[in-house]
Amino acid sequence: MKLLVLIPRSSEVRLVLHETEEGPRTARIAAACSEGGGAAARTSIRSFIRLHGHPDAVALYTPWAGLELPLAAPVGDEVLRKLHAAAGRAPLHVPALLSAIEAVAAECPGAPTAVVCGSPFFAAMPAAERAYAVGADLRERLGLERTGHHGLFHLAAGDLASATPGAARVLSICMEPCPEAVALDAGRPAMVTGGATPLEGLPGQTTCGEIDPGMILILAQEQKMGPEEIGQHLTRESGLKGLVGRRTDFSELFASRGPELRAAREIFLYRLLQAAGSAMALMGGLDAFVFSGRHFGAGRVIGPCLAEQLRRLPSAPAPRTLFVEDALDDLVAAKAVAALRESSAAAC
Amino acid sequence: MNILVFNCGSSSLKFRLIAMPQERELVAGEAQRVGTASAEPSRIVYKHAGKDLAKVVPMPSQRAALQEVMALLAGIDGLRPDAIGHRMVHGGDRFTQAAAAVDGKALDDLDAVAGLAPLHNPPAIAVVRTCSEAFPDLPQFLVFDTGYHATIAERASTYAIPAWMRGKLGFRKYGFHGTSHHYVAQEAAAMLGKPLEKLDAVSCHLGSGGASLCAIAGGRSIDNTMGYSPLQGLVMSTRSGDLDPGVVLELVLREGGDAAKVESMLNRRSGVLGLSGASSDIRDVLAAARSGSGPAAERARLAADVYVRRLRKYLGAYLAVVGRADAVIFTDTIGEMVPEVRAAVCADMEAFGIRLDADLNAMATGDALPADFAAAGSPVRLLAIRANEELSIARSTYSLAARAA
Repeated sequence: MKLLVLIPRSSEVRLVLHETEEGPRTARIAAACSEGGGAAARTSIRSFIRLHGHPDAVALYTPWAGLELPLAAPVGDEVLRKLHAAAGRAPLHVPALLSAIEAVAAECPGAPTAVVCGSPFFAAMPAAERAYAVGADLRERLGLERTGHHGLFHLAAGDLASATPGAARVLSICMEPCPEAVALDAGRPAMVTGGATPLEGLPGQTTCGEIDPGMILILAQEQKMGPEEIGQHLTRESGLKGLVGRRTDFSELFASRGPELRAAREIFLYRLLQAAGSAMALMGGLDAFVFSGRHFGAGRVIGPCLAEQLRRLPSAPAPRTLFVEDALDDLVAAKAVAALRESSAAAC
Repeated sequence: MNILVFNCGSSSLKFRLIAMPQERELVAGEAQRVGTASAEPSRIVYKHAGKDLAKVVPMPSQRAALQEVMALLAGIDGLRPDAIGHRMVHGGDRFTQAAAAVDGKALDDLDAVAGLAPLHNPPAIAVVRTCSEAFPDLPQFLVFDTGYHATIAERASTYAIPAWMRGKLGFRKYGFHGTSHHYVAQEAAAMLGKPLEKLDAVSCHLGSGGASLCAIAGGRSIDNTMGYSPLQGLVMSTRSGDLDPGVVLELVLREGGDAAKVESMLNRRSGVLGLSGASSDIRDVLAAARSGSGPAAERARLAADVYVRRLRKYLGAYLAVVGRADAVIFTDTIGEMVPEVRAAVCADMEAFGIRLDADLNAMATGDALPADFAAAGSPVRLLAIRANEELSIARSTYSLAARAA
């Protein structure tokens, strides 16, 4: 079966063609990335199909669409209803996804289509972890709660840990451009560094991570900056770029021995050490780090470094370092194939 | 040497005269309702020679309050101060020591940092200036809440934001409650029989208002949960603590750019009050959480869980940073008086070498402090120590004043 995986964002759409056989694994046979989200998705899909032929099925991915959807499901009325309900709370993700679903229906009529979403992974996270300490009116009116944005990677990390003896308590560290760490206790999320938006938590390649909320209010009040302008600085000019003064990524950060990257490296490692300590406090210990995402390889430096720091504790934990090497489209493809097969079997 | 400590609020002036190095309190009091128009007159309440006393006197300003307090002290034998220590909340990057002598440069630097703590710094600076003018021969010193945290390293104090925000706007982590954390670190070292410079600990200042944790290595602060402002960090009585920057921006946008309104929301209507919808006091919330079923009890349970969870995560984070800690120290109102919070925070922390004794913990409150409530054989000691910021200020002031004398 040829499966087209679409990862639509507000300003681009990534297309990857996978070949699947009987088992759960798929093989990537073509990939492209097109500028322009929304209406441009249809043009991108049409061009891709012209080159590679019609797919037998389509999978679309979004990192966040609320907690009510299943992780993977065929597109139908109920899924569309829930996506529309979530659109206002995820303006960067869900509208682009809905446009892409329409484009798929137009360009691949009749092809079984599944939506795969990362955020439902966090539905199992305790309410006390999801809740911000603000008034109930804000939390309920704005749907404010802490969830993560890389659920598929953390799910894969949990699967790897469950297949690894002695690795029940894991810190899953997804090394995407907006990195995120999740404490997994027997596969269930106990803690996430991310938040309601990808800005919270660990510093990213251009995102600020955790900062003092008071500073934003000072920028607005005293520097007279509007929310959009402040958001631009914190989303595109911060993180490693803000620290180093130029664009870089996590692979370079941890491959380099250069002094210009030293401070950024130490800051990131320090934040991760704190996350490891927090995870230990919630789970009673730590058995392994699992690195995933585009820059999972940085874990070869980070994992041993963190383990050495944690060995100073009285219990002298010695967490192993493990890796999920699958790319996002691999994970999406696997989930979509499973969901479509299940749906097809149920229909028979 | 008698050290007079001033702790200035927006409408009050607390004072304490302490004989050093004996650390004997000679008089303690507070000028109340300073500069307020209220039905009750302004007064000075004070304790001296075992008696609780009061003097009703108009005090339309902090300057007037200061003069009345000094006149009161001058009228009692043996209460003449030899030096004054002023509590200051925020020294910014102008004052990087825990304490500094007041001179011309210091007064200029104080003006430069006034805006960093707009509710606290300006009235305190007014008292400093009045003291300097009225008592030019009386040595004066400034002790900063931020000063103890000057030793926080770059990796902990640096935010991942553009260089112009860190440079031009001075956005970095300062940390607060430094005077309190410094004091309990000194006391903990003494209790454990080791020099301060060998103490590794996590100090938990849990007040009925603000709260912060401090990671301590070699007796020095290496991190604090508060940040550039006291808003960052733990869940507090009415403050949110940590909050997604994207959420803050969303709130400013929804309030039409009214950042002052959002500031009030996050500083005064969030935290324990925001979560419970009923009370800002965690003691009330814990009682309500125990009280059974219904929406109010559910909200109270959530509030208590979120409060404790944030504490546990930060405690774990700082124990990982410190490595092999000698002690976890609890202080101030909740830290001293609510064993239930200490028990919840310390439960299931054996991986960090923490084992709490439930009976000792229950008894470690009030006059029983300072107390060690760790189980026998617990590698990490658990200490409850009564806060005494004024004594800490007196110690820092005496240290400089005695050297200068």
